[in-house]
This record gives sequence, structure tokens and C-alpha cells, in this order.
Amino acid sequence: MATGSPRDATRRGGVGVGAATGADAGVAALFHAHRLALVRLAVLLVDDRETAEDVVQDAFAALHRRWGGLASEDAALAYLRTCVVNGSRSVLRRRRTVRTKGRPPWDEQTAPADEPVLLAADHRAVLAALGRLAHRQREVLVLRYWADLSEAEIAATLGISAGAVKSTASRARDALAALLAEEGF
Amino acid sequence: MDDLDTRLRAALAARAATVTEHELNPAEPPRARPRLARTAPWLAAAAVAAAVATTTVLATRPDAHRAAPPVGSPDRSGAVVSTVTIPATAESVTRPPVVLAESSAGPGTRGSTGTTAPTVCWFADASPCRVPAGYVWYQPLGPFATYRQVQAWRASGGSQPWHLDARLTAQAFVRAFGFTDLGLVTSASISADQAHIGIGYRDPAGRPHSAAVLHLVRYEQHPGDTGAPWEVVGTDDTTFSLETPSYGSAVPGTFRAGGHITGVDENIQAFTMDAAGHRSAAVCCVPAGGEHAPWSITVRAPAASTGSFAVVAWTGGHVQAHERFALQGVQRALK
Repeated sequence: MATGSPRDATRRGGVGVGAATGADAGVAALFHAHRLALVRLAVLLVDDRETAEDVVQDAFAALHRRWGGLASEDAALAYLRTCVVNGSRSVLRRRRTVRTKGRPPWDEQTAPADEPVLLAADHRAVLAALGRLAHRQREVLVLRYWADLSEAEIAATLGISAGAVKSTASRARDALAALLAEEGF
Repeated sequence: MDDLDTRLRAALAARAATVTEHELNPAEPPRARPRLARTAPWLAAAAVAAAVATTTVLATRPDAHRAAPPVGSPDRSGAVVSTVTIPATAESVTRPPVVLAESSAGPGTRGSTGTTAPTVCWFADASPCRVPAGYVWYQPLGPFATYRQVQAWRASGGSQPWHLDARLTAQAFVRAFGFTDLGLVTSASISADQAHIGIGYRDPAGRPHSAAVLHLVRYEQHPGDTGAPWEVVGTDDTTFSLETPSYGSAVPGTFRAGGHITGVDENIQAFTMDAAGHRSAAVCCVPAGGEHAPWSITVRAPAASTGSFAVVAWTGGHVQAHERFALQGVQRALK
């Protein structure tokens, strides 16, 4: 199937310097196939859909720029995942900075427009506890329990060792359990 | 797999499932920017020559909500501004077209080689662009009243970093009007230089509603200046619009404002306000309703205002005081 993916380009004899149209077609194919899943991943990391969409759009823009350096569709997807995780982390870092250094005095905390009001109480409690974990712990749990990635894949996405993934996941689960117990869940 | 694993998996799946395809904002995949040299070599050569011998201004056209500025016409000095439109990069679907304008007598920041940095022609007081007569600049409606204030803010080290966040700026702007019941960001489409932020509220059933979509741009001189603060320049009106006076027009002390509305049992009120906080008393009330029904109301310009200001019209009363609003950026006519 000629989707214009890096893999197809490889078959044609080189991804790296493919014509702009090849990058356009390849990125477009990935965009249509994976945008929703990536937005969902970003939502689980940053909480609100609008920000998640921005993060994902930035990831695809970065992929377009890097298209020539990727060897396969799997590599492109892995690259997108990494961009989404890194972009989400940047968003959270900026939010923390803004909250620390100043917000407009009239500004109140507002719930995101797509706040999951219909989620079960237990789901809300788990998600709230997840939001209180360290960024890296949250990322590991989301990649493991929602994206179903292996330890090796998580390690590649986060740029850490498989051992670090294992220990982070373990500590994250312990912390999550403690937070839920604190809240009576 | 123990209980915690199951709960975690279920919670993440449930949250992810709340994001559905049809709820996502429309977006296009990134595409390559056409290369000038490949598509029009003579034009690229001309641009290089112009960069050395003349002032070259890379201008992003203010896609003013209701009035596009004319381009390709003689400017005030009589110099002809030639233009080449380059499609927007696909990194943002909201970015306006980029216009490469070459002016034989344009100002701008001249570098040591005689060239100038790319410049956006958005705000009259921030831009060195020479523009054709009738060009419609963005009207700075807030939070900054002038580019001088922006420079002071930047010189101070950028205190109150919420100015760099389009969502927070939109929320702050609306609250400055006193619309404290509109604190919810309902949508956001943000590119490097432009943002469209939905502001609204939740009804008693918890459903979010947009009261307006604010259009913000960076108060900047050069494209992609992420250190520049966001500025509100208007609203993207749909079912409740403010169309007269036209965007950017000069108005007298008292004038008639109006537009169209779709709705039932509406009650329109209006006032004017500038970025410095000067405001007129609210004018109450014009009953309206129907399908794209015209409405109008007489308002006064803010007494102490001398520059740009916003006409603010709103309706509400069904669920809460403010349910929909619209802005029009205008300026005070010189006496």
C-alpha cells in the first residue's frame, strides 16, 4: 500500500530527501490515521482537549520537518509519540510557571470545556490522583496502561532506560495507591 | 493484574473515550511551503535585489474580521507596493496569508547590510510598514493600549507572564469587562501569531456554551515573536454579530452600532471600553430575536478615550446575565 509513508519512501530508494509532496502525502496519511489517538494521549497528559490538539498539531509539524530523517512508519509514529509527550510536558511546565509567577487577579481556576462530567466517581478519583503524580510517573502510567506500550517502547519514547521505566512505574503505582487511599477510594 | 491496574486502565480508557473525532477542531496536516525560487525564479531574484537596494518588508496581512486591507495599490507616498502572496504554512490553519511587499520607500529597521528584518503590518503603532491608503490595521482592544506599553512590559522582564498565554489573556480581557460569569475557555485554536479562543460558561446541566470567540494576535513587529504578548483585536461573530460601524472606522462621540442576531427573546445591551479601562455607561435594552434579525443601538464613545476602543454588545438573561457577546474595534474620530 503506497501511503506515502517513510516506509514506502524507503522502498522507493530513500526517505531522507524525498520531495515535499512525498512528505505531504506521508504526513497526511499519518495525520488522518493517528490524530485522534494522539490527541487522546495528549488529553491524558495535559487534561484539556484544546491544548492536546495544539500539542498534536505541533507534533505533526515537527514530523513534517523531520520526515527525511525517519526510516519507517513505525519510526514516524514513535517520533510523534515522543513529540506529544515532550510537548505535553512543556505545557505542564509552562502552566506551573504561570501559576507560580502570576495570574491575572481575577482569574479563577476554570474547568476545561470537555471536563469528563459523566465519568464514574472512581474514574474521576483515579484521574485526579494521576494528575498529582510527577510528570514522568504520569507519562509512564499513561503509556503503559492506555497506549499499551512495552517497557522498551516507553523507554524509547521517554529517552530513558528500560530499568528506569520499570522503577518509575512501580513507584508511580505505589504513589497512586497511596493517593487513592488518602481520598477514601 | 491487580485491582489498581484494572482501575487505572478503565479510568484512562473512559477519559480517552470522551474525546471523539467529531468533537475535534478541524485541522489539516502540515504541508510544505512552496519554494519561491522554484515557482517564480524571476521573483526570487527581484526580491534579493530589492533586499539590497530597497526596503523589503515581509508583511502579514491583518485578516481584519470584516475588512481586508487593499494591497497592490499605491501607498501614501506614491510608491507602488507590489505583492506576492505565499500560502500560509500548514502548521496552523488560522495563520493569515503572508504577503511579501517590496516598497521603494518603505521605512523599517535597516540593518548594516541595508536590509530589513521581516515585519508584520498589524498594529499602526507597532509597525514600520508603509501601507496603501485605506489599509485597515488591527485595533488594539486590550490588555495593552499601545505598543509603547508593550515595550515597557517587555523591558520590565515580562512580569505577569499570563500575557504570553492566549487563553489566560482572553479570560482576563473578558473579566475586565465585568463579565465575571464568563470564565470558561470553550475552544482554542492557537498558532504562532494568531489565536481564536472561545469564552463561555456552563449551563446548570454542566454543558459548556461559548459566548464569543475572541480573536487575538501577538502585539509584535516581527513574525513569530513568541515573546510578544497577546492582544485582543475582535471577535469571530456567528449568531450574534456587531457589523456597524465597520472594523477600524473612525466614529464620533455618539454613534449607532448594530448587527444581526439569531435567537429568541433576546435583550441586547451595549457599552464601549478602551484598553486603558475608560468605558461608557451601558445602554439598555434592545429587544431582539428571530433568524438573522437586524438590531441596532446608540452608544457613546468612552469619554476620555482618544484612540482605539471596543464596542461591546451582549445579550443574556435566559440562563445567566451574559450569554453571548460581540466586539467591534473602532477608533475615535479626530475633532
